[in-house]
Parts: sequence; C-alpha cells; structure tokens
Amino acid sequence: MKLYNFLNHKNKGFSIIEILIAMGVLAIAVSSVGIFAAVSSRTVSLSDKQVDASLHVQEYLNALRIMKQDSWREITDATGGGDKSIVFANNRYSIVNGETTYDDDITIGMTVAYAYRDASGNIVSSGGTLDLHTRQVVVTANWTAYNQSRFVDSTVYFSDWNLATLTQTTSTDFNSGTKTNVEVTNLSGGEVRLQSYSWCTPTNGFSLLPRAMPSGVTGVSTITIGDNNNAYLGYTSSGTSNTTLQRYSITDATAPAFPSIALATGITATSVRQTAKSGNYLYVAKSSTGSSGVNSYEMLILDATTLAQVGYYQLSGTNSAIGVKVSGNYAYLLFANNTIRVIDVTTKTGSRPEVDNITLAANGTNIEIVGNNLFVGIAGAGIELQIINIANPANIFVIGTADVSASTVNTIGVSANGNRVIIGGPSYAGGAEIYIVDTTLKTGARPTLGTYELGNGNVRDVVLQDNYMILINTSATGINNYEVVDISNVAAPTRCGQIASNSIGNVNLVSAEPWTSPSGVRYIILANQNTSNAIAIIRGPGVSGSSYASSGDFTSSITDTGTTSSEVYYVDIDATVPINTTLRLQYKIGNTSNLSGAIWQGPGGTAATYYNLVNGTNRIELPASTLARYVSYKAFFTTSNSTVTPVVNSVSFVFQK
Amino acid sequence: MKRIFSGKQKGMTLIEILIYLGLFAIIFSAAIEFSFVIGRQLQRHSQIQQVNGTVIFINNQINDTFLYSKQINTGNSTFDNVIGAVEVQSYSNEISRYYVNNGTLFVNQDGVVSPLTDQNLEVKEFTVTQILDKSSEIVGVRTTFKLQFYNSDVFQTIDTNFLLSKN
Repeated sequence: MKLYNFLNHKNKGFSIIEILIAMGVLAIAVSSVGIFAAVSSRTVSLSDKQVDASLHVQEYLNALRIMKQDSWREITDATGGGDKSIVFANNRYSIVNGETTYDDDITIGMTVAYAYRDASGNIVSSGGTLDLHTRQVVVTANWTAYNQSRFVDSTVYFSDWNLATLTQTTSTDFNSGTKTNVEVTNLSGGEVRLQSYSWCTPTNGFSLLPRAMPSGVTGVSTITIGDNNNAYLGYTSSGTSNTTLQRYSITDATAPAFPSIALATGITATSVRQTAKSGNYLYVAKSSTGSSGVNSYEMLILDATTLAQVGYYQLSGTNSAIGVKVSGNYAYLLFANNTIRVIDVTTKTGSRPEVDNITLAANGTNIEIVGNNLFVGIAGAGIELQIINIANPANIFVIGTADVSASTVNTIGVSANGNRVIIGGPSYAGGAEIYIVDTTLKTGARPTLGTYELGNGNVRDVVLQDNYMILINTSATGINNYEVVDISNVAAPTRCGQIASNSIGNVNLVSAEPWTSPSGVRYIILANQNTSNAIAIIRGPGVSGSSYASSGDFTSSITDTGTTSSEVYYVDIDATVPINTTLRLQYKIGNTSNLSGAIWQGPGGTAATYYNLVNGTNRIELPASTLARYVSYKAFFTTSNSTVTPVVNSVSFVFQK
Repeated sequence: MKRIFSGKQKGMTLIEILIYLGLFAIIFSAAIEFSFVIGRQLQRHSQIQQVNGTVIFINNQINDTFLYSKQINTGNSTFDNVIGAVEVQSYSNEISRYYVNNGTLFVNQDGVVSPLTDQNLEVKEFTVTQILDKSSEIVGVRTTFKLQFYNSDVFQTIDTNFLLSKN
C-alpha cells in the first residue's frame, strides 16, 4: 500500500527549482574548468615572455663577456652610474645610460658596482676589501603582465684577471715614436736601430759647421783634402791683404771634427782658385795681380805643415791659374787663357821652371789626372772634353775628345779608374746638363753613355763615389744644392737623394771632396759659401758598407693600458746587441695621457740608472704595485764600431687591467 | 494493480517540456561554445610552447656550435640580410653552416644537412650581424630570429648573440 501511494501520489517530474539547483551545480563545475583554462592560459603567456626576457639577459651577458676582453674600460667607466643599457650599433656593443625597452615591451637594464672580498678572496655583500679588478653586474629584464610587474634578473661578477700585453713591433708602431740618431727599418717586421748612412740619404748625415771665413774675403772657392787628414779651404778676395787659405785638421770619432785652424801666413794675396796636396807640400793655383812678388805668382808651393811659402811659379803678365794637379814631380796648371802648363817641382824651393805647355781647344774648366791621362773640361768650343797624354811631362799632347750636347761646360769629374767622365754644363733648356762619357779607351772621340737633367741648377762640382755621381749645384731658392744620382745603369741615371738649398739654411755649396776617416767611415767634405758656416759635412757609408751613428735614442709613443688600475708587471724586450754595442732602457709611467711630470727611470726608480739589455730576449720586472694607465719607454743605443748597431725588435708591456 | 497504470499518474505539461528544452539548449550551446574556446586556447598554447621550445632549442644548438668554434667563415656567411646564413669552423675544422631555405632553418655539418625547425613553423627572419672587437676582428655574431607558426598569429622574435670560444 505504501508503495502504491508513493508511486501514485509522490512520483512527480522535476520542479523549476530543482532544475535551477541542478543548473547552479553545473555552472560551478563549468566555471572551475573555465578558471583552470584561464590560469593555464596565463601561465603559458607568462612563460612566453619569460623566454623572451631570458634571451635578452643572455645577450647582455655575452656582450659583457666581449667587453671584458675587448674594452674593460667600458665596464669600469659604467661603475656606479645608475641604470645602463647595452646597445648594438655598427657591429659593436657599447654601454649607454638608462634602460632600454624592446618591441616586446620588455625593459632591460643593468647596474655595475664595485665588488668586495674577504681575507680569503671570497666575494662578500658587505664589508671586505674593495677589489679594483672585479665588478658586480646585475642585469634585470622586467615587464608588466596581468597588471603585475614581472622580472628576470641575473647577477654576475666580471674580473679582468688576465694578463694583457701591449706590444710595439711593427715599423708603424715604432714610427709613432721620437727618433734621435736612430732609424726605423722594416727588414724583419719592423725594428729600431742606430741611424745608418748611405750616399742616397745625405740629409741623415748632413751637418753644417760653424767655421767662419777669414775676414775680408769675398767667397770660398775650393776645398782639398790632404793625405794628412787636413782640409784646405781657399778663398777669393778682391784685395791683396786678406788671408785666403785656411787649414783645418779633420779628426774622426764617428763624425769628423775640425778642431784646429791655421791661416796660411804667406797667402794674403789675391784669390786662391784651387789647391793640390802632394807629399808634404801644398800647391796653390791663384790669380795673378801684380808684376812682381807674391801677388804676381800663379802658383805657390807651401810647406803643408807650416804653411810657409817655399817655392813658386811665375808666368810673365797677369794670367791667373784656375786649377792645379800634381802627378809625380810635375804640377799641371790650368790657366784662364786656355793653356795647361807643366811645371817641374822636383825641387820645391824658389822659382820653378815650366817644361811644356799645351793650348786647349778653348777655355778649360778644371783638370783631373788619372794615371798618365789628364782630363780637362772645355767651355765654349765644339767639343767639351780633351784627354791629354802626360806620360812624358816634357811632351804632352791631346789624344782624345768628347763632344756632348751641352751648350758649354762648368766642370768635369772623373771616376777613380779613369773610365768614366762626367761633364756638367750650366742650366740648358735645349737638353740635359749632365753627360756620362765612356773613357775606357782614351783616344779619339769618346761616346756619351747617358745623360741627366739637372732642373734649374748650375753644376759647380762633381764627385764620383761607387756607382753614384754627387752633383754640387749653385744655389737658388727651391733648387737642389746637392744631388746624388745612381749611375749603375748609365743609360738611365736616377736621383736617389738630395738636399734642397731652401730646406737647410745657410747652404750654398761650391766645392766637394771625398774623405775616408781612419775608422773607415766615408764622408763628403764641402766648401760652403757662407761667412759663418764655411764647411759642411755629409756622412756616407762605411768602407765595408754599413755605417751607423755612434749613439742615439728612441722614445716610444705612449701606450694606453686602458685603466688607471692597470698593474704593470714586466717590460719584455727582444733585442739584438752585438759586441762593441750597448743598448739600455728606461721607462716612464703615469696617469696623464702625455705622461707630464713622470720621470724616465731605471732600476731603483731613479733617472740616473738604466736597464742594460742583452742580446736576445730581456724581461724587466717592474717594482710591485706599479699601477698606471700610460706607459712609455726610451731606448739608448751606442756603438763603438760604426759597422754594427744594436737593434730593438719588439717591446711589450705585460700588465693586468 | 490496475490503478497503478491508470488512476492519478500525470506526465509533464507541454509548457514544462518546452522550458526544459529551452534551458537545455542554452546550457548545451554555452557548454559547446566554452569547450571550443578552451580547445582553441589549448591549441594556441601548444603552438606558443612549440615556438618557444624551438627557439630555445635553436639557441642552444647554435650556442654549442660556437663554443667549439675558432672562426667564422665570412665568405660563406650572409650578413645583414633577413635570410641570413653563418658558417663557423671548429677547432677540429668541422664546418657548420646555419641557413634558411623556404622558411626552414637548416644546419649543414660537414655535408650532413638537418632541419632545425618543424614543418609547421616558418622562419620569417634570420638576420646575422658580425660582432667586432676593437681591432675589427670578428668575435661572434648577433642574430635576430623570428619564428612564426604557419597560419597562425603565434610568433616569437628574439635578438641574441653567439661568441666564438676564444672569448
């Protein structure tokens, strides 16, 4: 019955309320799924940004690694300066102020701070000792998501604890330094050595001596170097009471000095035109201005030691001798009136007799003698050179000639073996001024082998040395007063060195003579037309080829280690120090870019001491705690043998930034 | 017993049924709609995760190569171009070249070519820029890498850098 009632009366459909309750339950269930979905969506979205941010931080850390290696100073300069960013531009990372916001709305920045260490060297967050070589860098990437700020950060420590080396080894490195009597070469990758001299680098060895002309003379006319290492300077004079001859003794350390002077007491008469030294006698060709006495003599024979007159030659009339050469017991005098006269000087005293003479094709310019041949330049004729056989001084005669294209002739020069004659003419618009003539054979018409254009100069003297012809030209502004021309290819002479008259003051060279010093260094000694600098010297190569200055020094350019906390440990030098040479070094350090106030110092930190370098590698250990940003070194070179030089191959500063 | 089946037993009215049906329709459609939203969300999440996973994978892969490399062969690399390429040489002289072809990033390691990105991902940009030190030597490369899911707005652009092991 109860069952019936239940079925019959109570068994009804759901009411609205029941349905609503059921829907409510369903809604709760569904919304929890929705919340779960939303949370998961948020998580994915956050992780997406997190990946992004982490990669930005990674880029920063990598960029800092490059800077640590490459420009530690950028990191140190950013220390304590607030937020910084790293930017990439022109293939390089650099640090700028402030944070950077990327397209993905992530803002990234970093701070650089000093680091401190405890006694065991561990980094501590408080207390400890400041470690100048380490920096703490905190890189932070932050962004806003779902109204909350999020971030990724990374704290790293960077240290410059690696030895760095700054080396000077190339010619470019060394050329940035200051050189005094040293030169930079590039024979094996760049090196510094003592200045070397060659014919082609005349300016390196040029010096103008403060030697005054005697008072009253009008100019210097000639220089002769005697076999007694004396230089004789002859002067022109318009009066008859001026001293016109000077003798200097030349001494050679490695650069010749002219320590003493003797004025020729008898030579106070008219102009000295040329001198020749033979034995202990000096033969002077001079102008003749009187009818008797010394003024009327054309040639004087002087005792070379006392400079006293012992003999003479006089031609009747007032002819002037303009050139003299001595061969054996005969002096050959060139006269202004186109004759050459042979004077017997077997005996030196008294009046000397003439044994022969010859009339030239026209006026002679100067004479040179090699062996049995006398060469004379001819001005103003169809030919420019005559070769005279002087095998028998009592019977001299012309055997050869040369006809070159010069308008006229100023001077000639003859090679030591007599096989080449250089004929120098005045400035000539119609052709070359300098002609090289083949005189291997002495007879007949000699051919021209090559020519050289002098520009505007007017050649005054020619010296032949090795395969070079050295041309002394009259000075005019902008004109080369001294030219060295390589004639190893006679068909195409090439200038390899010169001194321009306007590049060095007081230069007006008129006459040149070669001289080899007792130590084997070769020079050109020059008569210079200047009242206070009558002598100039040019140093050439040595007899064995090399010729180095006796001393010199090299000051390096200043090296920047990048930071004032750099501790310099060593200076490493690769050097070549042959026997008879010395190489020493000092260094200078400081924190001003020009090292002002710093001193050059050697062992013990004083300016009076030097580090002596040995052949091979050298390591100079600097005192402990040598902290400095800028460093420089100075090397001091000496040699007592001009054929060898010490060489600096490389210099390295080894330091910790 | 007969009364059980006839007598007072009543069914729902038509109106009640209509109301029920109406409510069911609303609830059901909301539930369907919701499940679609959730489904799309899940799909998008999976795409984002795939993109991010690939980005991290590629980043690690290139980083590892650079760790063992001594030099970048500039002649076989394409710099400053959105379809860039970079070739590095390891200390054992193994050559690895990363390049993009038809939207896929490949690596060619000594002649063995392997794709690094899945087919449903498109490399929209792989720009390689040289990183130089003070002496203008290449110390590494900086890359801008944009990876997009095909037919989707899901993408990731990252700037990162890779350094040769000498650093």
